[in-house]
Amino acid sequence: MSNTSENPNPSSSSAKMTLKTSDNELFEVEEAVAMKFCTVKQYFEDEKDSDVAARGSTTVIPLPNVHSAVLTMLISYGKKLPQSNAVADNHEEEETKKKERKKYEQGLLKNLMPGELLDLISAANYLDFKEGLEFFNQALADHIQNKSVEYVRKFFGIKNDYEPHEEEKYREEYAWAFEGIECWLIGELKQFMAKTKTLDIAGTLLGIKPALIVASFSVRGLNSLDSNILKPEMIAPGENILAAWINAIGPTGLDSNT
Amino acid sequence: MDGSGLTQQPKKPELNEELDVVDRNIKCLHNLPEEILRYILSLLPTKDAIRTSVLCKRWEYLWTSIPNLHFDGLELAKRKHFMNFVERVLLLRDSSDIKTFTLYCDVLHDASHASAWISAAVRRNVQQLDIRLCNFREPFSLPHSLFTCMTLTELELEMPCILKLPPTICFTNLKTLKFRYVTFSSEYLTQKLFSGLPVLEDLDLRDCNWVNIKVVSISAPKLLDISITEDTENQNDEKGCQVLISGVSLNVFYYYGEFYNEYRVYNSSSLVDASIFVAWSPHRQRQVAHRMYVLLTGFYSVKKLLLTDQALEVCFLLSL
Repeated sequence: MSNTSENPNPSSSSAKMTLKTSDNELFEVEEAVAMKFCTVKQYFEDEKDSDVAARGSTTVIPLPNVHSAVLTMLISYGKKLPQSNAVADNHEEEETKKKERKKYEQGLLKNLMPGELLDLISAANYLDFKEGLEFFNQALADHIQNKSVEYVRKFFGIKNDYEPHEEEKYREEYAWAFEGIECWLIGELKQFMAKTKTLDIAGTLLGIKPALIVASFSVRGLNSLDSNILKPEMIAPGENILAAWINAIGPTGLDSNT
Repeated sequence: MDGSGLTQQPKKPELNEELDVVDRNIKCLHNLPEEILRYILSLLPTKDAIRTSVLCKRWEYLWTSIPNLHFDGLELAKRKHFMNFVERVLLLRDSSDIKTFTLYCDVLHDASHASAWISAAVRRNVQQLDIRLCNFREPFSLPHSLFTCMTLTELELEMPCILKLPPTICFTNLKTLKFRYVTFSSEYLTQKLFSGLPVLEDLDLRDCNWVNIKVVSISAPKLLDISITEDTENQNDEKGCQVLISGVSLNVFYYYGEFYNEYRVYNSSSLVDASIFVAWSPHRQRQVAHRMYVLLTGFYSVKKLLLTDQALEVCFLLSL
C-alpha cells in the first residue's frame, strides 16, 4: 500500500495526502479519508496557514507513533465509512453500503489478534480517528465481556498486585457479579487433568528371555561413598518416565532429569 | 531414566506465542490512556465493568464513573448477594452523572434500601429510569426527589402497590412515562401528576388501578401517543373512573380492556390512528356499549380505526 509516486490518474478529483509512519513507510491517502484522522486534519490546517503553495501530495505528514501495519488497517476502515463529502445516496444504495460495511467489519475482527487490537486503539487515539476509536473500543469491550478476571488480566498483560486476602474480599463483596463466569483456572485444570496418565499394575512377569538390559546411557559403577555398593541401587524398566516434583524447576535445573 | 536431548519432547509453540502476546500487551497497556479504559468500561454491562476492579490496583476505582447502571436481581435465590452488590456499587460510585439506571428487584423488607438507591440515581441527574419492584412485605414509597427530577426524560415504573405521590410534582423534561400495576389512590395528587407533564410525548398505562378516584384529566399538551391497557380483574369500584384525555397533539390511541373505566378523548383533531381491543363482558353489556360510544365520539378525524370483532359487536349493539 505504500506508494511514493504522484497520483498517476490526472482525472481523479480528490486530492491526496502523504502520511509517513514510524517505520518510514509512505502512504498516499485520499484527502477525504485522511481528514477523518483529526490529528492529520489539524496538522494539514496548520501547514496550510504557513505555506499556501505546499498542498496535498507534496506535504508529507509524519506519524511517528503509528506503525505501517496499523495504518494500513485504519485507512482501509476509514475508506469503508460513509464519506462526508460524497453525494447523498438513495435509500437502496445506503442499505447495500451498510451491509458491505458490516461484512467487512466482521471479517476484520475475526482475524484480529488481541495485541493488534490494542495497537489499533492506541493509534486511533493518537490520530484522533473518532469512528475508528468507537469501533475498535466496542470490539475490545465485546471481547472481554463475560470473560473471567484471569482471562482479562492475561489479555491486557496486567500483573495482579492485590494481596490474596484483598482480592478475596472484593470477590466476596461483588459475588453477584462473579456468578456464572467460568474461572479460567478451571479451564487450565481441565487441560492438565487430560494430560495425566494412570498406571495399572500388570503383575510380576517371570521367565522373560532375554532379561531386560540396562540402557547404555544409564549410570553404572561404584557408589562414591562406599565402593562396596554398586550403582544403580534401585532399578526399574522404562524410558521417558512421567514424574512430578514440587518446585518450579527440577532437582538439577536441566530440562530433563534422570 | 531417559537421555537428555534424544527423546525430549519439543517445546510447545503456544507457550512462546502467549508470552509474546503478553509482552506486547504490556507495552500496549501503558499506551492506552485512562480515558480510553474508562470509555471501554462504559461499553461493558454493569457486572463485567465492576468485575474489573479485581484486575489490579490500577483498575480498583476505574469503573466508578460508568454512566449506565443495570441491576437485574429478580432471582430470589441469589438475593442476598444482589442486594450487597447494589449497595456496594452505589456507595463507591463517584458523583458524575448517571445516564440510565435500571433496578429490578424483590423488595421484601428492604423498602428503605430500594428507595435510597433510586434517590442516589436521582441525585446524580439520571435521565432514564427503569424500575421494576415486586414482593413488597411492608409499605413502600418512592423518594420525593424523583418527582421533581429535572433531568429525567424517561420513566418506567412497575410497582404493584399504591403510588404515594408527594405534594410537589414537576417533570419538566419527561418525554416518556410508563406505569404498570400501579394503584392511584389520591384524586387530588393524581390529577396534579397528570397535569404536570409539559413535554410528555408517550404515555403508557398498563394494568393500573384507580381507587377512590371519580375523575382524572390527562392534559399533556405535547402528547403524541397514548396506550391504555386495563387489568382484566377489576379492582375498582362499580362505576370506575372517568378519564378525560386532552388530545391536542395526539396522533395514536390504543386501548385494550373491558371498559372498567370510562375514557373520553377531546380536542382530537390530530388523531389519525386508533385501536380498540375490547374483551367481551356479558353481564356488563350496557356499560361497555355506552363507554365504547363515549370513546368513539372523540374519534371524528381518525383515518385508521382498528376494532376487534368483539368491539364491532358492541358497535352493532349501539346501533340498535
